[in-house]
Amino acid sequence: MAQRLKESLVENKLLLKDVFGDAIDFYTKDIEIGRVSCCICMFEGLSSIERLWVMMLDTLSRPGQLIPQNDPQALFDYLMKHSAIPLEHRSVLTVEDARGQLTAGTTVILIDGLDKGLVLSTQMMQFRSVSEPSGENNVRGSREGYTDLLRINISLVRRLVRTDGLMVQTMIFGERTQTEAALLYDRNLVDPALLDLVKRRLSQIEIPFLFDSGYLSAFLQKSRFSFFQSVGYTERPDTSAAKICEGKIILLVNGSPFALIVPYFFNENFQSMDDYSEKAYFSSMIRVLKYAAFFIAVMLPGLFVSVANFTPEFLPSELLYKTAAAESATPLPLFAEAIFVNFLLEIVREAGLRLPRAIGHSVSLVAALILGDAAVSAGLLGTPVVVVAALTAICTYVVPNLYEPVTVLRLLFIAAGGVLGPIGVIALFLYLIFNLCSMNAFGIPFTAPMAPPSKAFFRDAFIRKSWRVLARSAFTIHDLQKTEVEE
Amino acid sequence: MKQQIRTQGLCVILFVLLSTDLVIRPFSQRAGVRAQVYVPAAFLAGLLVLALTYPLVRAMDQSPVRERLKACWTHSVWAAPFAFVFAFGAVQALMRGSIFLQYISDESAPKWISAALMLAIAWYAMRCGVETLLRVCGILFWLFCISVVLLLISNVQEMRFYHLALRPFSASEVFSAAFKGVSVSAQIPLFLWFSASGTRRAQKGYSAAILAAMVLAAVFSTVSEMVLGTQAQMQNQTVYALSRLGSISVMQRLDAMHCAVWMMMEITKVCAFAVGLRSALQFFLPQWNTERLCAGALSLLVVMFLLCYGLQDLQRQWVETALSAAVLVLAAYQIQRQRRKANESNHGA
Repeated sequence: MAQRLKESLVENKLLLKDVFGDAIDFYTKDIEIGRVSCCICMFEGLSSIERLWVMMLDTLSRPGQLIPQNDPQALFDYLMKHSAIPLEHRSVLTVEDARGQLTAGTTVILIDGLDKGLVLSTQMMQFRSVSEPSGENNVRGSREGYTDLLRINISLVRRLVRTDGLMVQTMIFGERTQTEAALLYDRNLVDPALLDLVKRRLSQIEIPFLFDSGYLSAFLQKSRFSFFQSVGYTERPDTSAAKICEGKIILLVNGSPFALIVPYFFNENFQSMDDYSEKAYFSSMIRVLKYAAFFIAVMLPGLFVSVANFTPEFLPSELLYKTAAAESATPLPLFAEAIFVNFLLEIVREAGLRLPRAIGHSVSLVAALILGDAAVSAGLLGTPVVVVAALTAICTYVVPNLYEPVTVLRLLFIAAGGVLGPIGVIALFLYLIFNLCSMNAFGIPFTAPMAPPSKAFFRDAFIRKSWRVLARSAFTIHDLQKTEVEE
Repeated sequence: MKQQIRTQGLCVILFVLLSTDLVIRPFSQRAGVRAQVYVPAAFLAGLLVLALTYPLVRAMDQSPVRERLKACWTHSVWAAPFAFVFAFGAVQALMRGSIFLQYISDESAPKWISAALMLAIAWYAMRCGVETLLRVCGILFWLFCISVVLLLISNVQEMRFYHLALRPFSASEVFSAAFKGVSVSAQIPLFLWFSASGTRRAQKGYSAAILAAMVLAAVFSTVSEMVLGTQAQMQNQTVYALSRLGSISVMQRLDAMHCAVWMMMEITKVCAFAVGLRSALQFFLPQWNTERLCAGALSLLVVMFLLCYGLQDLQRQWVETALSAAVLVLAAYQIQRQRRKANESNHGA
């Protein structure tokens, strides 16, 4: 049970000291207002004394203020209801409340003789400013990306969706961190059953700490294994706003610049905001290119290994001679080479991610010169395998959202093609189709509108029609056929 | 887990499964007759099958009849024949797929490996359920359409009208070819089984699927004779021969793509029967959960595979036709009975 604040100021100060210990950033200052002893409590670094002065203390110190004297309750009522000081409407009643408000960056003012405290929004914490997102770059369109602060992120979306339908509901996660998160949706467009399901799943989450929105993905999705996720993410407020306008739900987490999109479908991995700023024919071409890049990234190494080992007659004669010559000069079999090169690519990528920027360029040098050039010249690796791996890597980056499943699937296809040959590749491809088709994103098929087929597939999924057509009827997820398979 | 089965999706499954038998033909039968006889024979055979089975599908159009049938077929006594025919159909497709793979490959994996892979996919399909199967067949339908279009385009240059053997023929030739070509495969009992849980009327979609299969058979026969001449009748796998000959510009080996799509269709056929089997087994073992049911169905398929391993392709075909015909007769009896009961209760009400 939450401990209530006491009427004695000294006891309240001791209670707070019990909670925070001797933290050097916990600032308290005894003051007197209307001859009543009060105490200002705040965390330096989260809250600003200058703002406190401007918002409250300066106002109170001006002459002509009718501040009640020697009466704590009257002082409280005056400050809350009759003064122009912008206090929070909710006061703190328990130590838990006080802890929550203080760690959120507000100032808590305790009054001797009252078992409650006043809260003033004096937040002035350091945070990363709104800047261009690290991924999801666009040629045209907004350049704003989310920051790490929840309130800022909510405001970024609210600036774009200015209707009365936008709803924001906050919740707390993490026993040890008490991290705030917010659900954003349009109450006129969202499916009430979907909203209830999402809220129910979120309420059942028991997690010790929450530092990123990605932690919640696993809890939102069904537990059956799949390579793909039915919960997407974005760094862009404009993308979030677009999803809200389709009847989807956005989940923002304090401390994370990535918003979760619920539900999320397979074809959305191939869409970007740029598609809607450019001409329809070009956007359609780029979408088809992305689909092709996905299949090349997943299947090309496996197909190459399978064809070269089991069905070399499929290769044109010139390519066959070059491949055979290259492979005869290398020590490893083709299958092992392909696995090795792909692992190397992953190692180089991971090293490039984790290295400090100052020496990050040396990774490119090592990869290009030593791995790419020297290994091939020394006959350790065959040129065709390196070329195939390089093409695969480039195609992977065309669809960055699917990087994880593409990487794992690529290795599986190499194994299937190298060990079992064409039937292995065919069986694995069919398994992949079954896996995709078996997924439901909160009651809606993950492969919608491709399977089951829908007009929306040629409207805005595989290709994009012109805005004149799209504008005739706005798309929402209600247009996608729902199955009755229970989640 | 409650599921509704989209009737449109069922019709697509039926078409995909029937088309599989057109592109991967039984190894025991060659084309045999020239296109001039084959085309009317194919339509005649198709119309005969349609005439026999359309009334059943039409009788199931009423929702009360479907509900009653579903309740009746969930009884283990009635589910047993369906389970048996589905198991046999799956094994037949498995074996045909393995043999086809060996036929088209110079160096292929041993039969048991390809069979094991197909069974593994079938096991996964059983776990996923019928709704997943509908979606997969929807995707395969489009892949197959692309394959057919490319097949025709790649052979356009080789088609010659004078290759067609056009000469007077008698009706008895057509009837004889039609009679030999009629095969009641397990696809139709599978369609009826799932239709009992369907969302809406199936008659139009069912007829369209059968007619589309007939048209496809006619197109393949005509095109193969236009390209191969009289040699088309000697081929073991006529459509495969077409795919080997076809080319578009520098792409000489489009048969790789065609065979990949056809093999996926054949494996999906195994999966479709496996899903049907699992669905039928559910009523024998209602206390078993999904995992155990799938394992049980898989074991049954393995046993059936081992039992049928020694049978020739023609023998397996006869057995499948006999089983399917028997199940259809049983289904017809049940459908009529439930329709009578439904009409009686309507009148009573």
